[in-house]
Amino acid sequence: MKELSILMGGQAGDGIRQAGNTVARLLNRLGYRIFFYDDYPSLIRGGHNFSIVRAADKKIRAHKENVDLILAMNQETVKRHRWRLKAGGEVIFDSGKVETQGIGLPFKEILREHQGAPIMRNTAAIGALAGHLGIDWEVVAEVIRDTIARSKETNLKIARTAFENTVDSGQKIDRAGAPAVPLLTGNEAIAIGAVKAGLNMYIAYPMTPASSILHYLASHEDDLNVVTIHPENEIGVALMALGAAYTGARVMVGTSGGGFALMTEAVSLAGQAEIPLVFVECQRAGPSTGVPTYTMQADLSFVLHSGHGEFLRVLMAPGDVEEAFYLTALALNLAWKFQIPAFILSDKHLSESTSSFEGDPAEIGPQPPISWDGSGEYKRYRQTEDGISPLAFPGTRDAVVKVTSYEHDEHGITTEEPDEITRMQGKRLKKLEKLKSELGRQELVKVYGNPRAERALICWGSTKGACIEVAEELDLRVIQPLLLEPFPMNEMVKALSGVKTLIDVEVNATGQLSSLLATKGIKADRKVLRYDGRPFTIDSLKNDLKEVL
Amino acid sequence: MIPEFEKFKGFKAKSIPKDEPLASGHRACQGCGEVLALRMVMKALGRDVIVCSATGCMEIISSPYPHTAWRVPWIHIAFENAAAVASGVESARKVLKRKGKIPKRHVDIMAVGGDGATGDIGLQWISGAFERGHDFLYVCLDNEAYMNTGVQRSGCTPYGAMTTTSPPGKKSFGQVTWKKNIPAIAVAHNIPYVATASPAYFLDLMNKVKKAALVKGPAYVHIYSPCPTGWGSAGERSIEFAKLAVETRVFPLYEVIEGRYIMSRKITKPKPVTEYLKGQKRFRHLDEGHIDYIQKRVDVEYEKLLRLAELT
Repeated sequence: MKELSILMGGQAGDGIRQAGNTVARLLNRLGYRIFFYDDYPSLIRGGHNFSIVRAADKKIRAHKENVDLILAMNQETVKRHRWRLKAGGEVIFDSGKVETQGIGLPFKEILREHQGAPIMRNTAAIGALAGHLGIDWEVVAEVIRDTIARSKETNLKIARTAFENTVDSGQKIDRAGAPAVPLLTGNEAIAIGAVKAGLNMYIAYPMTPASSILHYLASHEDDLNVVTIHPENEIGVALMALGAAYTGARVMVGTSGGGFALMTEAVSLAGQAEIPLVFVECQRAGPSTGVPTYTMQADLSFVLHSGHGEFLRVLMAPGDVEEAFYLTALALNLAWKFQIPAFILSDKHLSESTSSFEGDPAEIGPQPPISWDGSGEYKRYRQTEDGISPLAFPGTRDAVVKVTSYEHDEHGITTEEPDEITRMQGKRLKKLEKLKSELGRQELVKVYGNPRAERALICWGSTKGACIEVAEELDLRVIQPLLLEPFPMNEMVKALSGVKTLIDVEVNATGQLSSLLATKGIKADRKVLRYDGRPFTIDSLKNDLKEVL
Repeated sequence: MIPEFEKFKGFKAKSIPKDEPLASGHRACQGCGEVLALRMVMKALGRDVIVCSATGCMEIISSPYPHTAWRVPWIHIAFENAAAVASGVESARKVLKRKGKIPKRHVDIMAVGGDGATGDIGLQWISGAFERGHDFLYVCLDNEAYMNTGVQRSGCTPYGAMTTTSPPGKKSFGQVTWKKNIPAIAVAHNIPYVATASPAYFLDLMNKVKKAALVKGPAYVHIYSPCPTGWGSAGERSIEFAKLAVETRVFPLYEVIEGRYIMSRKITKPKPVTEYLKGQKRFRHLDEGHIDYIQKRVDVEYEKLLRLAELT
């Protein structure tokens, strides 16, 4: 595999993410597939930020610890990351701020020459990088024009000067040959997937790492024809969404674990009242405020069991941008078809990392719910064969739509009669059969690596990225359930066939997937867990696996 | 008249306490008006205080090692809980004192939060604490949006302001609602002391905080806190903007003592609001129509206050 990793580091305010974004788009334009990891502390200002852009000539979903190039905006970057540099690697740095060996350019002087703002140091760094890699100037200019919103001409001049003053290393980076594809963060893919499935409203309260769904949809409200609302807290969010869904709007809410804790009242209500609602939970390191800008997969048990009482739900965990797109669309369609709460479980690593998107948006569209045909008396909770009562919304002619959080009869009138309670609970749970047959048409458990290998890694969510590449190298199988509730038992048994050693790989401290598997009679032989707020990289996973293989 | 105020003569510029219960070396942005206000709050309170701090800028800039700035007992809680936790602290001290488990000396209890923690997510708990009548003060440091999570709008974001969730464009002109009047909500609870303050008038600010601490029962101080990062204003002009907000009547300074409104600073010759709006990126997209509306509404709101001061 032809590949290249570049690290950019500096202080918050140095535009590290922006620089990473430009570099990612530069390499995308050359036909590479991208994975772009962004690491930043929970501070308003200062602190050390870095991004790693990894480019390869095939699909990748993870980054590596070691890099070919470092772009250092400050001394700390060199101090913290020099160990990552591979033999033959180079440091490109601001000679006014950094003392080290490598390719130093006076960014400050370059900026002064073109009257650039201090933030444009990152443009100088990109120019130098492109010069070093021997990338054609036309490509660089095009990407800068596309990715930088303001002062395009000044940025171009700065990049050009840095470009011309950097000696071509002779290791000219070739075009990988593939056409450029869209680069999306997991959160963008979630947002677009929902829109493709007919989302009308997105309601959320800001919380890292879910906030960028709100930002993305708010800034594209007109193009996407979606209304975004930011109410006073997550309780308000979830209950406003219940009101919107009751009125007939396809609605989604998004948050992280702390905010979801406040939403759980609405989860249970959606279960009892059969209101379709999609919850996106982007996990971060907890408990409580925890480590706000770092990743974790520790809310699986919480979301799986959220809300009191017993009711049907769908819980899906996408592991890459394509899955984020498809599964969110599927979640919205299923929630409406079956009138149940559906959950998308993401994490910081998926939500905020950027990758090449190779899905086909044309495959997805909104599926209409089962609606009342207007005949006879309308009963919101009519008993039917499959348990699904046709939907009508307030304002529909001749329909009085009564919805309640109490146990109720077919009309939506409160009941405490034992027979009725049994019947209604039976009606709601009966929907499982049709839900299962509907889900049966989807791919619910994915297998990667060597599908016949006797040693298998089992993982969920963003952890798949590192697992797949390690498995390919070590000749292992990878099993990744996309659906966690209702649990896809048949597909899982098929995926596990022939496995002698099962290794559970998760980013949490207790192995929550392995606990779930145990309840299904599937025992993981070993666990490889990481819970320092950082995702597995290919190298770190390989290293951890050495001890158990 | 409140008996606790009788002995308090007010702070003087010459005799401001030198002690810094909130140490320097925190990591607030350059020109942060909020941390400046908080520093004055802490100077007024001294060290005999327990601080219950909601999630927000002030918690983030003052708590990571080695930038910890608090020299007083400090508890950080989740976003909406400051008033509820302060209620627990106050009740526990009362009980423990009664049972003779802790000395009977008075310690102030302060809950502090930003405009999001106060006016949006935490409002219900503040209402409960005011209703129960706990002896504590609640300080709201209002920088008019969620600044530490990426400048999203709050209920206290002013009309027309640009935030990431109220972006101006073809169909929007920024925030569409008028700033929520939290001091009025506090007044409606019939608590003994409510005040608004600004870091530009620091002696006034310190006096109000001290009074809020002295008074028996709940007290509320709403402090205007310029935010260069979120407002797109020059850091060195924060105090200037704080002053302009008062001089243009955008943010009037007043006290409400046992329901009586008292203007702290009557602005008889107000500057036009444009003087306040210009120089802040969050307002630069506004056209004349919007500015005209803001001017009219500011005048109406100020008149209402003057009338309340006359009536009460």
